[in-house]
Amino acid sequence: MSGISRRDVIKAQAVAAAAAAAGLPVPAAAQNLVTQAHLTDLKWSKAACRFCGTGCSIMVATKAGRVVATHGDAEAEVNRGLNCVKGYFLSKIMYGNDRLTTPLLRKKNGKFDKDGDFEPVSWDEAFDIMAEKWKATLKAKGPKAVGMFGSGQWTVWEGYAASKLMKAGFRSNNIDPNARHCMASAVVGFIRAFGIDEPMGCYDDFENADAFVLWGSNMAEMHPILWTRIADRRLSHPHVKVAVLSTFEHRSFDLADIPGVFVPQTDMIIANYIANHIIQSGAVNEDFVSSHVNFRKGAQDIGYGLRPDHPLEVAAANAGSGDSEPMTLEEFAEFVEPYTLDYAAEKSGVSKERLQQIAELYADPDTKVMSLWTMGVNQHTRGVWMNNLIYNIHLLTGKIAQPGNSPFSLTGQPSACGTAREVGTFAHRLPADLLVANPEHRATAEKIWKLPSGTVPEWIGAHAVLQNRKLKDGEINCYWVQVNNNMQAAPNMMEEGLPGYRNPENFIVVSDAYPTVTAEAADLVLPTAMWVEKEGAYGNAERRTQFWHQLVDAPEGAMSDLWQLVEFSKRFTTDEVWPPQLLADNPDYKGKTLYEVLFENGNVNAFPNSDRAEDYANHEADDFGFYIQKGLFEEYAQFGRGHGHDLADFDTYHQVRGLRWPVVDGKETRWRYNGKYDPYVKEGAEFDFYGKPDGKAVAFALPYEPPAESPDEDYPFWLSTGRVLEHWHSGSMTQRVPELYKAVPDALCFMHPDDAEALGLRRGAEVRIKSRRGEILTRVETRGRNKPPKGLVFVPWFDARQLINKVTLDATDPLSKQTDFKKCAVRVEAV
Amino acid sequence: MNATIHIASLLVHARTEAVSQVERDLLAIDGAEIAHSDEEGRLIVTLETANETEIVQALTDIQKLSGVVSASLVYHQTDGAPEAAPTSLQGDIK
Amino acid sequence: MKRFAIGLACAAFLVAAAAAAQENIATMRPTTPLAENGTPAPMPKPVNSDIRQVRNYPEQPPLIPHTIEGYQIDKNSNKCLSCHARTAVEVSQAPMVSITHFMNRDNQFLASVTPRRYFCNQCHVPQTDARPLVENDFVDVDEVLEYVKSKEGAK
Repeated sequence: MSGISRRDVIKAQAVAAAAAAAGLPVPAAAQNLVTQAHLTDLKWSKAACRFCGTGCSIMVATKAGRVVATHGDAEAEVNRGLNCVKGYFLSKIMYGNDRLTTPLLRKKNGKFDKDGDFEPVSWDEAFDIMAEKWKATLKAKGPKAVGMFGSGQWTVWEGYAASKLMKAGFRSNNIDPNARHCMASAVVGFIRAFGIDEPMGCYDDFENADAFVLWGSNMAEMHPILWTRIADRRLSHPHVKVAVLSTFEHRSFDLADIPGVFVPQTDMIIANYIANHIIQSGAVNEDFVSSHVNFRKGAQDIGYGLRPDHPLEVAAANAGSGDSEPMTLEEFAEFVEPYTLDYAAEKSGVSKERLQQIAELYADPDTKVMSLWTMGVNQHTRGVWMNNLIYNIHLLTGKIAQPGNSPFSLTGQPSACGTAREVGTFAHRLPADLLVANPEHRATAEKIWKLPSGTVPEWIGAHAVLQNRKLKDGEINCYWVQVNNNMQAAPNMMEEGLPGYRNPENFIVVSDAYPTVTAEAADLVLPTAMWVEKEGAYGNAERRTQFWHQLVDAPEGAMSDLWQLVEFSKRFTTDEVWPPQLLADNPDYKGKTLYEVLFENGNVNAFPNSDRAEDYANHEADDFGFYIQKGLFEEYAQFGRGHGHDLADFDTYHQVRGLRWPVVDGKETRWRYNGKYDPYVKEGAEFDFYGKPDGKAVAFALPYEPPAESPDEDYPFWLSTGRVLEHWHSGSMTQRVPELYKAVPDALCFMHPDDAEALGLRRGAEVRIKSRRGEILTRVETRGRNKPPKGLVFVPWFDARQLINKVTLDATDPLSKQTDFKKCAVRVEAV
Repeated sequence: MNATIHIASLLVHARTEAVSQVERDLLAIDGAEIAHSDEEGRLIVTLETANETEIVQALTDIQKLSGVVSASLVYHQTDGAPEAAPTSLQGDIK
Repeated sequence: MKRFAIGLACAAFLVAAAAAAQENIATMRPTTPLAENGTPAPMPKPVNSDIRQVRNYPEQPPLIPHTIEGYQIDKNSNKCLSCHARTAVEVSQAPMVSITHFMNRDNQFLASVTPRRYFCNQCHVPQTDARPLVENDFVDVDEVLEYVKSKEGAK
């Protein structure tokens, strides 16, 4: 191209970017600037980032059906024009040249065979075999033998449609999202302490806090754009302090005023010490505590979420118990009294001076503190307890629900909040915090869904780890995985995951844009449209719901998860899947397809295609003949409106850069439970934790308990797993972007140089990492960005060639059922 | 095409009654063009300059213009230098 | 427009066709069965050529064409700025950080690089000599424009 036209393109882009920032249409006047405006014009549209829970808004440029550029949205509150390196490369995630464009079925001699090789088949053939398997299983064994594993990367309406298809259509609560691996401990922590899920504060806290305490989180790599807000605050305001607590040193330590590397699991001791310090130093906010806090003593010795016959479960006095009993502040004080500074320093390995400095940040009434955590706290066999222990500190000091005073549970996935949690795609949940076990809640769902009473089953379905166990045991036989790579992600792959998928009794379906490890373990692979190839919505960690339009067409043959779910529902009639009694009592539903009763129910098909934005395609709406995304969203929103989970109307979200729920009278809510900001707080009250019947939040007395597995003579190292900045989760998108691949191509075993030397290993040496469950081969890194202390190694899990989850342990928090991916015992051997 | 150019776009908010005066003043600035201007006082201005300093200077000048409420840089890109220079010693620095 | 997208994707179709009837479909794990462990690739070498790469689109942060091993970037010091800061480039002849990096969260210019852009390697990453396992079919906007032009010419 000549220099002139290239320059014109840039100029047109410059103008379009400014127009987009101002919310103006690309001005006609701009076209005089360029000689061939009709050629160089790019169409800029907003979208939410495809990766982490931060929820950055992205401007996406399209031309001739292709995404040609992306950049951070200058108008968005969340990121104000910035992206991390992954976000800047979003343009390329859809264009890996191994995109799946046709279903693949394992076949031998022209027909399905579990031991066959993958062959391309039509969508019809794919759905035929799938429906045949589902029907046979439902008939033979009932709804408990089918299951689905979804994701916090589903769009809001995809998760909603999946949940409805499973819970009301197939009448099976065996649906769980991979958010179970990610946020489940946070959820249970919220419900126990406040009665409502998700943070009370929001990202505005970053600009208001005087101190930040990271509990086991590496935000510099995992939430880079939120880290820019902390860096901005810290480096522009010298009084601001940053404390970073972790089991190994990482990039977030580069900004730390108070660094602390603690022995795995002793975060519980540190948290209890801080509570004790607050009480002992007279820093309890007595007005706040007496008006707004109840104290309870939790059940102890609760086990590790392993199979019931595991010796650790047999030995546990109260395996799986979340019980608690009331106690007084005085009794609580007595409970935490043994957690002295000396004890905490001795057990955690963090110096007394630093522990005291952190405790003082919380104790000083004039320091506004934001606590931040994600997987370090949530992926923990006492993850729920750790969430509660952090809330204890904020409740004792009254540092909560005010600008800058904020216990903030960060989110891993782009819609772990918006889809997995708010829509309720968990095995025990329904939308807006409702529960399948509660008959009134089921009745609410059946009423909104216009379904007969008794349609939604009362039993709690299998959670993520239990699904893998049930697949292995042959109890779940038909299984559908969407938008995630669970063979690579789930713990203990060799003993639980892989045997389950390859169990000859089971039929496994995987929907993905790319052929992942999970796809390879499946029997049928469905090619899937991704990100801006469909209209979507995500909800981020600060309760912000964000929408985008379909901006380009998916590759021919690839279909969105929503299309797959709804199209599949056409293959079943109620007579085939519902019990005769339910139909006898409700004869109107007889002979109907699941599509008719779930999606042509007068709600989901209420909005015609004429409601759509004119200048954006919408493949699903074209196919089904109505604005299905709007119908699903508006039906779903009925659950939360008037109940503290209010969402704005559908069309609004296409105009704005997201809104934080509850959205009441068109206004978002920044600080919940605070009378100044939250319309749900009762008239005249300063604070009101209205998720609890008496309006009081709960502080829990919970002790330190040891991890499920600790290093010993045979397996002398701690293993921690996690992510890296350049790759999202299992790398199925980012590993296909050459620049990101070449930045970090392989997983490595990060270890202390002295440990390497003692084992006779040089940097780059091949090693075997072995646990009681499995092993991988990798290479040693002693000079990288992560600097573990002696006795601990860190291996990231993005690398499909080095599946570290062959090594990990499927111990979970017994309350949240979330796996502890951060602690197990391994040995490292030279190869 | 070895000469480097810098292209930037700015979003300028002017008081509604001062829009035409602001437009005249803007056009007097070297390398500035007006891509859009409306009755609400919103203007999109492009700048084409030889280096970064000139953009910063122009932005400062614009912010000082009488009638301008605010001016912010939305977009900036350099073009024209060989992108694959043999070494970093021949960069797009004037 | 749709036809254009399909045209560009035809290479992918060929790959898919060639992939008919196979066991190991996970492209990112090309040779080793799931239950086994392959020898890990040797550690890749950092690219240190100082040759700048064409950006995929103007908004892409430039890649770092040299090694940054041992660079200190923390609250006390930023090694990158010792060459790329406004006042350093005359001596270093390295590219100056973009002036967008001088704007704070409210789009106001600061005297120096904004703290929100302080940690360079959140956006700018160096490269290794590793060979990607999968090609990427992203099409540069210039090629897209050539395509649009050629379609218009054909009319």
